[in-house]
Amino acid sequence: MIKVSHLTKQFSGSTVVDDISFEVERGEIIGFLGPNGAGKTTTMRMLTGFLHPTRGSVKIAGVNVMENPLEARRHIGYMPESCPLYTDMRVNEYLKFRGQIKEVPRRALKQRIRVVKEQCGLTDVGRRIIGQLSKGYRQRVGLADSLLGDPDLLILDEPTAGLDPNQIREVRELIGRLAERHTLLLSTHILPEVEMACKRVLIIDKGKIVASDSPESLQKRLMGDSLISADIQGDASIIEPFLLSIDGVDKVSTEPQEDGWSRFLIDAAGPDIRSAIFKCAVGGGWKLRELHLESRSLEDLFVAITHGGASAEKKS
Amino acid sequence: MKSFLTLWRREFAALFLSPIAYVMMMFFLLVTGCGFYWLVKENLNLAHSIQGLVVVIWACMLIVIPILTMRSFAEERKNGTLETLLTSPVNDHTVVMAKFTGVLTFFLLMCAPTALYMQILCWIAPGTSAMIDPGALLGGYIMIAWIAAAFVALGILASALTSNQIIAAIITFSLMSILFFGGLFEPHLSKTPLVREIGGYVSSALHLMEASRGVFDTRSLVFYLSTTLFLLFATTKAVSARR
Repeated sequence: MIKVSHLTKQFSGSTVVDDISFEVERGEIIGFLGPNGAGKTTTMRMLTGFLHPTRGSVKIAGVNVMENPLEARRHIGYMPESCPLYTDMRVNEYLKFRGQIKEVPRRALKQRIRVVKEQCGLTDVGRRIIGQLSKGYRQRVGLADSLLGDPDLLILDEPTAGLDPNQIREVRELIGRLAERHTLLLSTHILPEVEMACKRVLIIDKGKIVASDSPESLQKRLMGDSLISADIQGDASIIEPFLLSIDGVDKVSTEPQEDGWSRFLIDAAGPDIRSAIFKCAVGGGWKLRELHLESRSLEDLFVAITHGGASAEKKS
Repeated sequence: MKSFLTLWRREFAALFLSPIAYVMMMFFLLVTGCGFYWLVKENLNLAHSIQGLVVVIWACMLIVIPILTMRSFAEERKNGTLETLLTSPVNDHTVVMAKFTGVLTFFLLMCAPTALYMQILCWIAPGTSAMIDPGALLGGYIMIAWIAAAFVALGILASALTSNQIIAAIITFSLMSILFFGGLFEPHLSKTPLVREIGGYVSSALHLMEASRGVFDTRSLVFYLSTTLFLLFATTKAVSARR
Protein backbone atom coordinates (compact mmCIF):
# COMPACT_ATOMS: atom_id res chain seq x y z
CA MET A 1 0.00 0.00 0.00
CA ILE A 2 2.82 2.38 0.91
CA LYS A 3 6.32 1.99 -0.40
CA VAL A 4 8.83 4.53 0.81
CA SER A 5 12.37 4.33 -0.46
CA HIS A 6 15.32 6.46 0.62
CA LEU A 7 13.09 9.37 1.53
CA THR A 8 15.00 12.49 2.57
CA LYS A 9 13.80 15.99 3.32
CA GLN A 10 16.05 18.93 4.00
CA PHE A 11 14.87 22.37 5.10
CA SER A 12 17.43 25.11 4.49
CA GLY A 13 20.37 22.79 5.09
CA SER A 14 19.08 20.81 8.07
CA THR A 15 17.99 17.25 7.42
CA VAL A 16 14.60 16.57 8.97
CA VAL A 17 13.99 13.16 7.43
CA ASP A 18 17.12 11.20 6.68
CA ASP A 19 17.04 8.42 4.09
CA ILE A 20 14.16 6.38 5.46
CA SER A 21 12.65 3.36 3.74
CA PHE A 22 9.69 1.25 4.79
CA GLU A 23 6.72 -0.60 3.37
CA VAL A 24 3.16 -0.95 4.56
CA GLU A 25 0.95 -3.78 3.34
CA ARG A 26 -2.74 -3.39 2.56
CA GLY A 27 -4.88 -3.72 5.70
CA GLU A 28 -2.05 -3.05 8.15
CA ILE A 29 -2.41 -0.67 11.07
CA ILE A 30 0.81 1.15 11.69
CA GLY A 31 1.64 3.29 14.68
CA PHE A 32 4.08 5.99 13.80
CA LEU A 33 5.92 7.08 16.94
CA GLY A 34 8.68 9.45 17.79
CA PRO A 35 9.50 12.41 20.02
CA ASN A 36 8.48 15.91 18.98
CA GLY A 37 10.55 17.14 16.07
CA ALA A 38 11.61 13.63 15.05
CA GLY A 39 10.20 14.04 11.54
CA LYS A 40 6.82 12.29 11.83
CA THR A 41 4.71 15.11 10.45
CA THR A 42 7.22 15.86 7.68
CA THR A 43 7.18 12.20 6.64
CA MET A 44 3.38 12.14 6.62
CA ARG A 45 3.28 15.34 4.61
CA MET A 46 5.58 13.77 2.05
CA LEU A 47 3.42 10.67 1.88
CA THR A 48 0.38 12.81 1.09
CA GLY A 49 2.28 14.92 -1.43
CA PHE A 50 1.92 18.16 0.55
CA LEU A 51 5.70 18.40 0.75
CA HIS A 52 8.06 17.28 -1.97
CA PRO A 53 10.97 15.13 -0.83
CA THR A 54 14.53 16.33 -1.40
CA ARG A 55 15.44 12.79 -2.42
CA GLY A 56 13.74 9.41 -2.58
CA SER A 57 10.31 8.30 -3.64
CA VAL A 58 6.90 7.44 -2.22
CA LYS A 59 4.46 5.07 -3.86
CA ILE A 60 0.87 4.85 -2.68
CA ALA A 61 -1.05 1.85 -4.04
CA GLY A 62 1.62 1.55 -6.72
CA VAL A 63 1.31 5.19 -7.81
CA ASN A 64 4.31 7.48 -7.48
CA VAL A 65 3.27 10.53 -5.45
CA MET A 66 5.65 12.86 -7.29
CA GLU A 67 4.92 11.67 -10.81
CA ASN A 68 1.17 11.27 -10.55
CA PRO A 69 0.12 13.30 -7.51
CA LEU A 70 -3.61 13.51 -8.22
CA GLU A 71 -4.03 9.78 -8.70
CA ALA A 72 -2.00 9.05 -5.54
CA ARG A 73 -4.07 11.52 -3.51
CA ARG A 74 -7.28 9.80 -4.57
CA HIS A 75 -6.16 6.80 -2.52
CA ILE A 76 -5.44 8.82 0.62
CA GLY A 77 -7.62 10.18 3.38
CA TYR A 78 -5.47 12.55 5.38
CA MET A 79 -6.11 14.33 8.63
CA PRO A 80 -3.30 16.80 9.37
CA GLU A 81 -2.07 17.63 12.84
CA SER A 82 -4.40 19.94 14.81
CA CYS A 83 -7.14 19.20 12.29
CA PRO A 84 -7.49 22.43 10.29
CA LEU A 85 -11.02 23.19 9.06
CA TYR A 86 -12.91 26.10 7.53
CA THR A 87 -14.41 27.34 10.76
CA ASP A 88 -16.85 29.67 9.01
CA MET A 89 -18.72 26.81 7.32
CA ARG A 90 -21.44 24.52 8.61
CA VAL A 91 -20.57 20.85 9.05
CA ASN A 92 -22.85 19.74 6.18
CA GLU A 93 -21.58 22.51 3.90
CA TYR A 94 -17.99 21.63 4.65
CA LEU A 95 -18.45 17.91 4.04
CA LYS A 96 -20.29 18.64 0.80
CA PHE A 97 -17.48 20.94 -0.34
CA ARG A 98 -14.82 18.38 0.54
CA GLY A 99 -16.79 15.58 -1.11
CA GLN A 100 -17.00 17.57 -4.33
CA ILE A 101 -13.28 18.31 -4.23
CA LYS A 102 -12.59 14.63 -3.67
CA GLU A 103 -14.64 13.76 -6.73
CA VAL A 104 -17.34 11.80 -4.93
CA PRO A 105 -20.00 11.32 -7.64
CA ARG A 106 -22.80 13.86 -7.29
CA ARG A 107 -25.49 11.20 -6.87
CA ALA A 108 -23.59 9.30 -4.20
CA LEU A 109 -22.49 12.39 -2.27
CA LYS A 110 -25.56 12.81 -0.07
CA GLN A 111 -25.51 9.18 0.93
CA ARG A 112 -21.75 9.25 1.52
CA ILE A 113 -22.01 12.31 3.77
CA ARG A 114 -24.77 10.60 5.74
CA VAL A 115 -22.62 7.48 6.18
CA VAL A 116 -19.48 9.29 7.37
CA LYS A 117 -21.56 11.48 9.68
CA GLU A 118 -23.03 8.37 11.24
CA GLN A 119 -19.61 6.72 11.49
CA CYS A 120 -18.16 9.74 13.24
CA GLY A 121 -21.17 10.60 15.40
CA LEU A 122 -21.92 13.90 13.67
CA THR A 123 -25.55 13.32 12.78
CA ASP A 124 -26.86 15.84 15.30
CA VAL A 125 -24.45 18.67 14.49
CA GLY A 126 -24.79 18.81 10.69
CA ARG A 127 -26.23 22.33 10.76
CA ARG A 128 -23.81 23.72 13.35
CA ILE A 129 -21.04 26.14 12.37
CA ILE A 130 -17.68 24.37 12.71
CA GLY A 131 -16.13 27.27 14.62
CA GLN A 132 -18.71 26.82 17.38
CA LEU A 133 -18.04 23.10 17.86
CA SER A 134 -15.89 21.66 20.66
CA LYS A 135 -12.45 20.35 19.83
CA GLY A 136 -13.63 16.76 20.01
CA TYR A 137 -16.35 17.40 17.47
CA ARG A 138 -13.97 19.27 15.18
CA GLN A 139 -11.65 16.28 15.32
CA ARG A 140 -14.59 14.13 14.25
CA VAL A 141 -15.34 16.49 11.36
CA GLY A 142 -11.70 16.13 10.27
CA LEU A 143 -11.99 12.36 10.47
CA ALA A 144 -15.27 12.41 8.56
CA ASP A 145 -13.57 14.52 5.89
CA SER A 146 -10.70 12.05 5.56
CA LEU A 147 -13.22 9.21 5.13
CA LEU A 148 -15.37 10.96 2.51
CA GLY A 149 -13.60 9.62 -0.55
CA ASP A 150 -13.66 6.08 0.92
CA PRO A 151 -9.85 5.95 0.65
CA ASP A 152 -7.76 2.79 0.81
CA LEU A 153 -5.26 4.47 3.07
CA LEU A 154 -5.94 6.69 6.07
CA ILE A 155 -3.13 8.88 7.35
CA LEU A 156 -3.95 10.47 10.69
CA ASP A 157 -1.48 12.84 12.29
CA GLU A 158 -2.07 12.88 16.04
CA PRO A 159 -5.82 12.38 15.88
CA THR A 160 -6.23 12.53 19.66
CA ALA A 161 -3.97 15.50 20.44
CA GLY A 162 -5.57 18.03 22.75
CA LEU A 163 -8.66 15.99 23.57
CA ASP A 164 -9.95 15.15 27.04
CA PRO A 165 -9.87 11.50 28.21
CA ASN A 166 -13.50 10.84 27.21
CA GLN A 167 -12.97 12.28 23.77
CA ILE A 168 -9.74 10.31 23.39
CA ARG A 169 -11.65 7.14 24.19
CA GLU A 170 -14.35 8.01 21.64
CA VAL A 171 -11.85 8.81 18.90
CA ARG A 172 -9.87 5.68 19.73
CA GLU A 173 -12.99 3.53 19.42
CA LEU A 174 -13.78 5.19 16.13
CA ILE A 175 -10.27 4.52 14.85
CA GLY A 176 -10.62 0.93 15.99
CA ARG A 177 -13.74 0.59 13.85
CA LEU A 178 -12.05 2.24 10.86
CA ALA A 179 -9.12 -0.13 11.09
CA GLU A 180 -11.37 -2.95 9.97
CA ARG A 181 -11.80 -1.46 6.51
CA HIS A 182 -8.78 0.74 5.81
CA THR A 183 -5.02 0.62 5.88
CA LEU A 184 -4.09 2.99 8.66
CA LEU A 185 -1.01 5.02 9.43
CA LEU A 186 -1.38 6.77 12.73
CA SER A 187 0.98 9.08 14.53
CA THR A 188 0.38 9.68 18.19
CA HIS A 189 1.90 10.37 21.58
CA ILE A 190 -0.64 8.24 23.41
CA LEU A 191 1.22 4.98 23.55
CA PRO A 192 -1.46 2.73 25.04
CA GLU A 193 -3.48 3.66 21.98
CA VAL A 194 -0.81 2.22 19.72
CA GLU A 195 -0.39 -0.83 21.93
CA MET A 196 -4.09 -1.53 21.68
CA ALA A 197 -4.71 -0.86 18.02
CA CYS A 198 -1.52 -1.21 16.02
CA LYS A 199 -0.09 -4.38 14.60
CA ARG A 200 3.20 -2.73 13.82
CA VAL A 201 5.13 0.23 15.17
CA LEU A 202 7.53 2.50 13.36
CA ILE A 203 9.66 4.55 15.69
CA ILE A 204 11.39 7.53 14.17
CA ASP A 205 14.03 9.59 15.92
CA LYS A 206 16.08 12.46 14.50
CA GLY A 207 14.78 11.73 11.01
CA LYS A 208 15.74 8.07 11.00
CA ILE A 209 13.68 4.96 11.58
CA VAL A 210 15.09 3.35 14.69
CA ALA A 211 12.63 0.49 15.08
CA SER A 212 9.99 -1.23 12.97
CA ASP A 213 8.23 -4.30 14.34
CA SER A 214 5.16 -5.45 16.23
CA PRO A 215 4.96 -4.00 19.76
CA GLU A 216 5.40 -7.49 21.28
CA SER A 217 8.47 -8.54 19.35
CA LEU A 218 10.00 -5.12 19.84
CA GLN A 219 9.55 -5.64 23.54
CA LYS A 220 11.22 -9.02 23.34
CA ARG A 221 14.04 -7.82 21.16
CA LEU A 222 14.88 -4.64 22.95
CA MET A 223 13.91 -5.57 26.48
CA GLY A 224 15.64 -8.93 26.84
CA ASP A 225 16.11 -8.17 30.52
CA SER A 226 13.19 -8.32 32.90
CA LEU A 227 11.99 -6.12 35.73
CA ILE A 228 10.85 -7.89 38.88
CA SER A 229 9.07 -6.27 41.77
CA ALA A 230 9.33 -7.85 45.25
CA ASP A 231 7.77 -6.68 48.55
CA ILE A 232 10.01 -7.79 51.43
CA GLN A 233 9.79 -6.90 55.12
CA GLY A 234 13.10 -5.98 56.75
CA ASP A 235 15.95 -3.50 56.65
CA ALA A 236 16.35 -2.48 53.02
CA SER A 237 20.04 -1.64 53.36
CA ILE A 238 20.74 -5.21 54.53
CA ILE A 239 18.51 -6.93 51.99
CA GLU A 240 19.77 -5.01 48.95
CA PRO A 241 23.32 -6.47 48.84
CA PHE A 242 21.84 -10.00 49.10
CA LEU A 243 19.57 -9.34 46.14
CA LEU A 244 22.45 -7.87 44.14
CA SER A 245 24.48 -11.02 44.76
CA ILE A 246 21.89 -13.15 42.90
CA ASP A 247 23.17 -14.32 39.51
CA GLY A 248 21.96 -12.11 36.66
CA VAL A 249 20.82 -9.10 38.72
CA ASP A 250 22.07 -5.81 37.29
CA LYS A 251 20.39 -3.23 39.44
CA VAL A 252 18.19 -3.00 42.50
CA SER A 253 16.21 0.04 43.54
CA THR A 254 14.18 0.38 46.73
CA GLU A 255 10.87 2.07 47.38
CA PRO A 256 9.99 2.07 51.10
CA GLN A 257 6.29 1.35 51.74
CA GLU A 258 4.31 3.08 54.49
CA ASP A 259 3.69 -0.11 56.49
CA GLY A 260 7.35 -0.97 57.10
CA TRP A 261 7.69 -3.13 54.02
CA SER A 262 10.05 -2.28 51.16
CA ARG A 263 9.44 -2.71 47.48
CA PHE A 264 12.52 -3.77 45.54
CA LEU A 265 12.61 -3.26 41.79
CA ILE A 266 15.12 -5.69 40.39
CA ASP A 267 16.53 -5.36 36.88
CA ALA A 268 17.78 -8.70 35.69
CA ALA A 269 19.18 -10.07 32.47
CA GLY A 270 18.59 -13.57 31.24
CA PRO A 271 16.22 -16.22 32.63
CA ASP A 272 13.46 -15.74 35.18
CA ILE A 273 15.09 -15.31 38.61
CA ARG A 274 11.94 -15.11 40.72
CA SER A 275 12.67 -18.46 42.40
CA ALA A 276 16.16 -17.28 43.27
CA ILE A 277 14.72 -14.16 44.91
CA PHE A 278 12.31 -16.32 46.89
CA LYS A 279 15.17 -18.54 48.07
CA CYS A 280 17.17 -15.46 49.03
CA ALA A 281 14.26 -14.16 51.16
CA VAL A 282 13.76 -17.50 52.85
CA GLY A 283 17.51 -17.83 53.46
CA GLY A 284 17.63 -14.44 55.13
CA GLY A 285 14.53 -15.10 57.17
CA TRP A 286 12.64 -12.13 55.67
CA LYS A 287 8.93 -12.12 54.96
CA LEU A 288 7.95 -11.92 51.30
CA ARG A 289 4.39 -10.90 50.38
CA GLU A 290 4.56 -10.13 46.68
CA LEU A 291 6.76 -11.17 43.81
CA HIS A 292 5.95 -10.51 40.19
CA LEU A 293 7.38 -9.84 36.77
CA GLU A 294 6.55 -6.31 35.62
CA SER A 295 5.46 -6.18 32.00
CA ARG A 296 7.30 -3.57 30.01
CA SER A 297 5.03 -1.09 28.32
CA LEU A 298 5.53 0.48 24.94
CA GLU A 299 6.26 3.64 26.86
CA ASP A 300 9.38 2.08 28.42
CA LEU A 301 10.33 0.87 25.00
CA PHE A 302 9.84 4.28 23.46
CA VAL A 303 11.93 5.94 26.16
CA ALA A 304 14.61 3.26 25.87
CA ILE A 305 14.90 3.64 22.11
CA THR A 306 14.68 7.39 21.75
CA HIS A 307 16.46 8.37 24.98
CA GLY A 308 19.02 5.62 24.63
CA GLY A 309 19.91 7.09 21.28
CA ALA A 310 20.25 10.55 22.77
CA SER A 311 22.49 9.47 25.61
CA ALA A 312 24.60 7.30 23.32
CA GLU A 313 25.11 10.28 21.07
CA LYS A 314 26.09 12.51 24.00
CA LYS A 315 28.64 9.95 25.13
CA SER A 316 30.20 9.74 21.68
CA MET B 1 -13.27 21.94 -14.34
CA LYS B 2 -15.68 20.56 -11.75
CA SER B 3 -13.23 21.03 -8.92
CA PHE B 4 -12.47 24.53 -10.22
CA LEU B 5 -16.15 25.47 -9.97
CA THR B 6 -16.38 23.97 -6.48
CA LEU B 7 -13.32 25.88 -5.32
CA TRP B 8 -14.45 29.09 -7.01
CA ARG B 9 -17.82 28.86 -5.29
CA ARG B 10 -16.09 28.33 -1.94
CA GLU B 11 -13.76 31.32 -2.49
CA PHE B 12 -16.61 33.57 -3.55
CA ALA B 13 -18.89 32.48 -0.71
CA ALA B 14 -16.07 32.75 1.85
CA LEU B 15 -15.84 36.49 1.16
CA PHE B 16 -19.47 36.90 2.21
CA LEU B 17 -18.86 34.90 5.38
CA SER B 18 -16.42 37.48 6.70
CA PRO B 19 -17.40 41.01 7.75
CA ILE B 20 -14.48 42.49 5.77
CA ALA B 21 -16.36 42.02 2.49
CA TYR B 22 -19.37 44.00 3.69
CA VAL B 23 -17.20 46.75 5.14
CA MET B 24 -15.26 46.95 1.87
CA MET B 25 -18.46 47.11 -0.14
CA MET B 26 -19.82 49.89 2.00
CA PHE B 27 -16.56 51.83 1.79
CA PHE B 28 -16.41 51.37 -1.97
CA LEU B 29 -19.97 52.43 -2.70
CA LEU B 30 -19.76 55.37 -0.30
CA VAL B 31 -16.56 56.72 -1.86
CA THR B 32 -17.63 56.18 -5.47
CA GLY B 33 -21.13 57.53 -4.73
CA CYS B 34 -19.90 60.68 -3.01
CA GLY B 35 -17.17 61.07 -5.61
CA PHE B 36 -19.61 60.91 -8.48
CA TYR B 37 -22.02 63.31 -6.78
CA TRP B 38 -19.23 65.79 -6.28
CA LEU B 39 -17.95 65.35 -9.85
CA VAL B 40 -21.37 65.95 -11.37
CA LYS B 41 -22.05 68.91 -9.09
CA GLU B 42 -18.74 70.62 -9.77
CA ASN B 43 -18.27 69.71 -13.44
CA LEU B 44 -20.14 71.28 -16.32
CA ASN B 45 -19.05 68.53 -18.70
CA LEU B 46 -20.70 65.16 -18.02
CA ALA B 47 -18.09 63.25 -20.07
CA HIS B 48 -15.43 64.48 -17.63
CA SER B 49 -17.56 63.29 -14.74
CA ILE B 50 -17.76 59.79 -16.22
CA GLN B 51 -13.99 59.79 -16.67
CA GLY B 52 -13.75 60.99 -13.11
CA LEU B 53 -15.99 58.15 -11.89
CA VAL B 54 -13.83 55.40 -13.40
CA VAL B 55 -10.76 57.04 -11.90
CA VAL B 56 -12.44 57.09 -8.47
CA ILE B 57 -13.29 53.40 -8.84
CA TRP B 58 -9.70 52.72 -9.81
CA ALA B 59 -8.38 54.68 -6.83
CA CYS B 60 -10.60 52.61 -4.52
CA MET B 61 -8.90 49.48 -5.86
CA LEU B 62 -5.77 50.63 -4.05
CA ILE B 63 -7.47 49.89 -0.72
CA VAL B 64 -10.01 47.26 -1.71
CA ILE B 65 -7.88 44.79 -3.69
CA PRO B 66 -5.05 44.32 -1.16
CA ILE B 67 -7.64 43.67 1.56
CA LEU B 68 -9.71 41.25 -0.51
CA THR B 69 -6.71 39.27 -1.75
CA MET B 70 -4.55 39.22 1.38
CA ARG B 71 -6.46 36.34 2.95
CA SER B 72 -6.55 34.00 -0.05
CA PHE B 73 -3.40 31.96 0.58
CA ALA B 74 -1.93 33.60 3.68
CA GLU B 75 -4.94 32.85 5.87
CA GLU B 76 -5.18 29.26 4.68
CA ARG B 77 -1.49 28.73 5.27
CA LYS B 78 -1.72 30.17 8.77
CA ASN B 79 -4.81 28.13 9.69
CA GLY B 80 -3.36 24.99 8.15
CA THR B 81 -6.31 24.51 5.81
CA LEU B 82 -3.93 24.84 2.86
CA GLU B 83 -2.63 21.42 3.85
CA THR B 84 -6.05 19.78 3.55
CA LEU B 85 -6.68 21.68 0.32
CA LEU B 86 -3.37 20.81 -1.36
CA THR B 87 -3.58 17.14 -0.37
CA SER B 88 -6.94 16.80 -2.11
CA PRO B 89 -6.96 15.63 -5.72
CA VAL B 90 -6.72 19.14 -7.20
CA ASN B 91 -3.92 20.79 -9.18
CA ASP B 92 -2.07 23.79 -7.80
CA HIS B 93 -3.07 25.88 -10.83
CA THR B 94 -6.76 25.01 -10.32
CA VAL B 95 -6.50 26.30 -6.74
CA VAL B 96 -4.76 29.49 -7.90
CA MET B 97 -7.28 30.11 -10.70
CA ALA B 98 -10.21 29.50 -8.35
CA LYS B 99 -8.87 31.95 -5.79
CA PHE B 100 -8.16 34.53 -8.48
CA THR B 101 -11.55 34.32 -10.15
CA GLY B 102 -13.32 34.21 -6.78
CA VAL B 103 -11.90 37.59 -5.72
CA LEU B 104 -12.20 39.09 -9.21
CA THR B 105 -15.87 38.13 -9.47
CA PHE B 106 -16.52 39.67 -6.09
CA PHE B 107 -14.77 42.89 -7.09
CA LEU B 108 -16.62 43.18 -10.39
CA LEU B 109 -19.89 42.51 -8.64
CA MET B 110 -19.01 45.27 -6.21
CA CYS B 111 -18.48 47.65 -9.17
CA ALA B 112 -21.82 46.74 -10.77
CA PRO B 113 -24.00 49.10 -8.66
CA THR B 114 -21.92 52.09 -9.84
CA ALA B 115 -23.45 51.56 -13.30
CA LEU B 116 -26.75 52.52 -11.70
CA TYR B 117 -25.40 55.99 -10.95
CA MET B 118 -26.02 56.96 -14.60
CA GLN B 119 -29.57 55.66 -14.39
CA ILE B 120 -30.16 57.70 -11.24
CA LEU B 121 -28.70 60.76 -12.94
CA CYS B 122 -30.97 60.33 -15.97
CA TRP B 123 -33.92 59.89 -13.65
CA ILE B 124 -33.16 63.09 -11.74
CA ALA B 125 -32.24 65.16 -14.81
CA PRO B 126 -33.96 63.62 -17.89
CA GLY B 127 -31.98 65.78 -20.29
CA THR B 128 -28.63 64.21 -19.47
CA SER B 129 -29.27 60.80 -21.06
CA ALA B 130 -28.49 62.19 -24.51
CA MET B 131 -25.13 63.43 -23.25
CA ILE B 132 -23.93 60.01 -22.06
CA ASP B 133 -21.77 58.14 -24.55
CA PRO B 134 -22.44 54.43 -23.88
CA GLY B 135 -19.28 53.41 -25.75
CA ALA B 136 -17.05 55.52 -23.54
CA LEU B 137 -18.81 54.28 -20.42
CA LEU B 138 -18.45 50.64 -21.49
CA GLY B 139 -14.81 51.24 -22.44
CA GLY B 140 -14.15 52.61 -18.95
CA TYR B 141 -15.71 49.59 -17.25
CA ILE B 142 -13.90 47.09 -19.49
CA MET B 143 -10.60 48.77 -18.68
CA ILE B 144 -11.44 48.63 -14.96
CA ALA B 145 -12.03 44.88 -15.29
CA TRP B 146 -8.67 44.38 -17.01
CA ILE B 147 -6.78 46.45 -14.47
CA ALA B 148 -8.59 44.72 -11.61
CA ALA B 149 -7.59 41.31 -13.04
CA ALA B 150 -3.90 42.26 -13.03
CA PHE B 151 -4.05 43.76 -9.54
CA VAL B 152 -5.99 40.81 -8.09
CA ALA B 153 -3.39 38.46 -9.58
CA LEU B 154 -0.70 40.60 -7.92
CA GLY B 155 -2.50 40.38 -4.57
CA ILE B 156 -2.90 36.61 -4.85
CA LEU B 157 0.82 36.25 -5.59
CA ALA B 158 1.73 38.37 -2.55
CA SER B 159 -0.58 36.25 -0.42
CA ALA B 160 1.03 33.04 -1.68
CA LEU B 161 4.47 34.32 -0.71
CA THR B 162 3.77 34.86 2.98
CA SER B 163 1.63 33.47 5.76
CA ASN B 164 1.06 36.93 7.19
CA GLN B 165 -1.99 38.66 5.76
CA ILE B 166 -0.83 42.15 6.71
CA ILE B 167 2.49 41.68 4.93
CA ALA B 168 0.64 40.36 1.86
CA ALA B 169 -1.62 43.43 1.86
CA ILE B 170 1.32 45.81 2.25
CA ILE B 171 3.25 44.19 -0.61
CA THR B 172 0.21 44.48 -2.90
CA PHE B 173 -0.51 48.03 -1.77
CA SER B 174 3.11 49.10 -2.35
CA LEU B 175 3.38 47.67 -5.84
CA MET B 176 0.00 49.04 -6.83
CA SER B 177 1.02 52.44 -5.47
CA ILE B 178 4.10 52.51 -7.67
CA LEU B 179 1.90 52.00 -10.73
CA PHE B 180 -0.63 54.47 -9.32
CA PHE B 181 1.68 57.35 -8.55
CA GLY B 182 4.22 56.49 -11.24
CA GLY B 183 1.49 56.91 -13.80
CA LEU B 184 -0.18 59.88 -12.17
CA PHE B 185 2.99 61.97 -12.05
CA GLU B 186 4.35 60.62 -15.30
CA PRO B 187 5.36 64.07 -16.66
CA HIS B 188 7.40 64.74 -13.50
CA LEU B 189 8.80 61.23 -13.22
CA SER B 190 12.17 61.76 -14.81
CA LYS B 191 14.10 63.85 -17.26
CA THR B 192 15.02 60.72 -19.21
CA PRO B 193 12.52 60.17 -22.04
CA LEU B 194 12.77 56.35 -21.73
CA VAL B 195 11.69 56.36 -18.08
CA ARG B 196 8.81 58.68 -18.91
CA GLU B 197 7.79 56.46 -21.76
CA ILE B 198 7.79 53.37 -19.54
CA GLY B 199 5.91 55.34 -16.87
CA GLY B 200 3.28 56.27 -19.43
CA TYR B 201 3.06 52.73 -20.75
CA VAL B 202 2.34 51.16 -17.36
CA SER B 203 0.20 54.02 -16.06
CA SER B 204 -3.24 52.64 -15.35
CA ALA B 205 -4.54 56.19 -14.78
CA LEU B 206 -3.72 57.12 -18.36
CA HIS B 207 -5.15 53.86 -19.71
CA LEU B 208 -8.40 54.52 -17.89
CA MET B 209 -8.64 58.12 -19.07
CA GLU B 210 -8.17 56.97 -22.65
CA ALA B 211 -10.63 54.10 -22.41
CA SER B 212 -13.33 56.17 -20.74
CA ARG B 213 -12.95 58.74 -23.51
CA GLY B 214 -13.91 55.99 -25.95
CA VAL B 215 -10.40 55.31 -27.23
CA PHE B 216 -9.78 51.59 -27.62
CA ASP B 217 -6.07 50.82 -27.28
CA THR B 218 -5.03 47.18 -27.64
CA ARG B 219 -1.56 47.87 -26.18
CA SER B 220 -2.93 48.37 -22.71
CA LEU B 221 -5.19 45.30 -22.99
CA VAL B 222 -2.19 43.18 -24.00
CA PHE B 223 -0.21 44.68 -21.13
CA TYR B 224 -2.82 43.75 -18.50
CA LEU B 225 -3.55 40.34 -19.98
CA SER B 226 0.11 39.35 -20.11
CA THR B 227 0.73 40.77 -16.62
CA THR B 228 -2.22 38.80 -15.23
CA LEU B 229 -1.12 35.56 -16.86
CA PHE B 230 2.46 36.02 -15.74
CA LEU B 231 1.45 36.76 -12.15
CA LEU B 232 -0.88 33.74 -12.02
CA PHE B 233 1.90 31.56 -13.40
CA ALA B 234 4.27 32.96 -10.76
CA THR B 235 1.67 32.26 -8.04
CA THR B 236 1.34 28.64 -9.14
CA LYS B 237 5.12 28.32 -9.03
CA ALA B 238 5.23 29.98 -5.60
CA VAL B 239 2.66 27.54 -4.23
CA SER B 240 4.53 24.55 -5.71
CA ALA B 241 7.90 25.83 -4.52
CA ARG B 242 6.73 25.97 -0.92
CA ARG B 243 5.85 22.32 -0.95
